[in-house]
Amino acid sequence: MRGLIYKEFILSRKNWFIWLGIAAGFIAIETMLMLSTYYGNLAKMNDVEDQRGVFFSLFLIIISVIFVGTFGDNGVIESDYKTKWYLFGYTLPVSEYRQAAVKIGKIAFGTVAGTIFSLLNLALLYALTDIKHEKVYVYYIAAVALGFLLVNCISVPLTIRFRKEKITFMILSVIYVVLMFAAYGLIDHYTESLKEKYSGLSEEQFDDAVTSQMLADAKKLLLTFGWTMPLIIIAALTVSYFCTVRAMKRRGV
Amino acid sequence: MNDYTNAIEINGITKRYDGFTLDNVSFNVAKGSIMGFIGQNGAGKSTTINTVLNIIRPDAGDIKIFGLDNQKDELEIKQYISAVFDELPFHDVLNAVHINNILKGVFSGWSSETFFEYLDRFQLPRRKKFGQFSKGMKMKLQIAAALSHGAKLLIMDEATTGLDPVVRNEILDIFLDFLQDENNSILMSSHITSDLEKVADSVTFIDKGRILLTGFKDDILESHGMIKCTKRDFKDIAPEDYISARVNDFGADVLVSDRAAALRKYSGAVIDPTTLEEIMLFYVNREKKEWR
Repeated sequence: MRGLIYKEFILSRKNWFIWLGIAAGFIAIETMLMLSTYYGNLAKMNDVEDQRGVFFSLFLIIISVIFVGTFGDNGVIESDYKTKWYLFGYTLPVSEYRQAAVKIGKIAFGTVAGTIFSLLNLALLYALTDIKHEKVYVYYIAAVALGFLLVNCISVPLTIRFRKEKITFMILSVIYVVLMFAAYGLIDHYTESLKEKYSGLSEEQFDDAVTSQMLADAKKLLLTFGWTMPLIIIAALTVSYFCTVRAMKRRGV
Repeated sequence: MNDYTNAIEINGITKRYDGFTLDNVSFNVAKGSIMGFIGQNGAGKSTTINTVLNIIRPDAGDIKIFGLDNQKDELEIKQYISAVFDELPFHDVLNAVHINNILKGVFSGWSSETFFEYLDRFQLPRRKKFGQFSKGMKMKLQIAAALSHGAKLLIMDEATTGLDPVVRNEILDIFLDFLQDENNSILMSSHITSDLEKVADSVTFIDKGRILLTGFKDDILESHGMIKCTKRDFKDIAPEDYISARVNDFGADVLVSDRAAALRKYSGAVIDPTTLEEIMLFYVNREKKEWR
């Protein structure tokens, strides 16, 4: 099993280095931007404090997406099928349970590694700015990690089952479209209720009030339900593991 | 591992697909021997080998390897078997050092020393990516990996196909070295019958999912013979006495499966020894009886 773990890392490392390089580029931009809001051209903006807050959250989320997304499967499963490694894998004295544990373990490791890098980036942002330390920023990172983890938990057994990433991508796209429609319906209902609440305001005041309300409600939602994320992660990894074992047991059929 | 007579025992294996059925396949590979498994493309060689390796689950029948059940005792068996495929099943970006580290962490009996000795013997580079290897180099790499964890059974699926005669000869010599230990065995599928004539102890011939012949190679070659006669004389040979006949304007080549009986019955006939290739060719055309 040690050997299979080594194989996963060797095959993924080039991709990881490339994306970590991209993340480093974004961190450089983030650093320059943040310093500019204090000492550069952006410091001259009228609403520099608000803009700094927006940049803070934006870069936090973008760089978290890059870090967590970097450590996914990176096409190793599909290349296992293209090279016929999967056939060779069935001749090794390693059960499907262990082979699946390697694949799912890699997702878990990747999610943890991406989260740690994202938290380090959060520490950097705190060091660069005087923005108040709030739990919600950690929850932003956790939400990104959870999103990628769920996608990987679905895609690993699907790719093993169907042997092609594009089929997995099509299935995930269908799931995404369904979720987007559901989310659109919920958001539509929510914004209608906000329109009713702030109907007496001018257009500019209305936009500001709705934006503030939405951010406050999102923050409240995360703080209220954030504690469930570890449970969702464990459940997702467990279900994904058993689905992966089942997909692997099909063998050559 | 327990005592066993046959490295592989295949009993009544049946596997059904649309348009093809592996039908009641049975044969044994004796310990300490090479079994040549021959047949046309699409005859069922790879399907049979995949059931032995438990890559495919048969619809009926059972398989024993080293006297153990190939499904229930799969993990124990796989410590001691090596499969060699017609294509290198390793990613192009890997190199031999990576493969050593991977397989060291998989096989309890892996020997890095043995692996690198084989690499040196085959003059294979350690850090060159496999994507830059030639076909011959890839096959030698596979064999080096196959022989480096104390395997007692090599299962080769068309492993010498597409290799030049020099490389094929080198590989066949390695197999003969491997068999110096009489506990080691090889099951080798191929349609290059000349290779099997050089090294195989036994031969099994499969056609359209059925076993037509299985036994010691020398016995099969000894028992079969080719009658070379004129078209007129060919008419005097009873259909039940031959497998099939290649008839042209100059005469007929007629394959018989019992040379001794044919010599007694057709005493004036010239019956030449035959080759595995001819046996395969004539058996494949057995339903036509006469062909060109």
